[in-house]
Amino acid sequence: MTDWTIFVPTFLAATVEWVEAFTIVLAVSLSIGWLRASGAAAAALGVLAVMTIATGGVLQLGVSMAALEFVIGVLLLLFGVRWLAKAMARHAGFKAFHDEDKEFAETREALEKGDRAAAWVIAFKGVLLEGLEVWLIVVALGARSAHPFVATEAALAALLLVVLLGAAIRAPLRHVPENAIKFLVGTMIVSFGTYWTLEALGGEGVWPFGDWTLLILFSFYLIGGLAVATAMGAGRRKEAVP
Amino acid sequence: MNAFFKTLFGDLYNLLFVGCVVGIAALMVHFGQMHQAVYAVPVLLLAGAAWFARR
Repeated sequence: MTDWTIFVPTFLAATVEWVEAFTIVLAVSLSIGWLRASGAAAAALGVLAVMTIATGGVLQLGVSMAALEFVIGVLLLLFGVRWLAKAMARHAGFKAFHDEDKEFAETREALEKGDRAAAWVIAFKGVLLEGLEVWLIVVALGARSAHPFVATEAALAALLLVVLLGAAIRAPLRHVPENAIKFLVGTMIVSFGTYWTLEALGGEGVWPFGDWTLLILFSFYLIGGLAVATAMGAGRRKEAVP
Repeated sequence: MNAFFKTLFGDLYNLLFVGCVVGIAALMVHFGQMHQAVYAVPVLLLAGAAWFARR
């Protein structure tokens, strides 16, 4: 498995999550200042770093490759199916697109009811919960890579990009094409999950085209997902017309 | 804690759906239908994602 097949999905997924985390931190910073809000974000990132090191170490401790592949494959399926479904729902019009301005306004509204300590907790929890998904992808993809730090580097590169853009713009990053990225990443994650789960169950020869199967699975989920979501959207609009 | 588990594993429907698909895949492999499983599992997963999208 090449580094890019690990780097790209991790980088894209992390970018989406860090953008959402940044919106929360930005909203909190208007109440308690940049320094305290950044401190809360740094504390959450510290927890995530400890979790990554701990789980990465545990996964390397003599666990058989098939068992590791199975656990990671199922975790990726649990995660990827949700992302793909959410992206399909937004593409079809069943669900509203994620709105960073709305998220920002809702966080500000919640902050008006609480005190400074509550604001710190909102920033900490926001970064921690958004970062949990990044942690899962980093650990899952990193554990199967020949270079386990590639996934971590991708997540850190995405974090640096979002922080730099956010610091320059000082507003919610509303122009990030979140649903397009979510569609791509959901597709990639489900492809990895399918590949590893079946390889763990059936052995190395289960996929007729070896590693190239990942590309076939990715194309199937992407084209199939877009086609199904487009058809569902057309059906929904037809039902809406009296 | 609830938000933690929901972020990682999704809701009960998500857990049940993925559990069922993995169970079907395991049964197919066990009964020697490995080459059919590699076609059935992606189709099932895409159908499931479409169902979740409508929910």
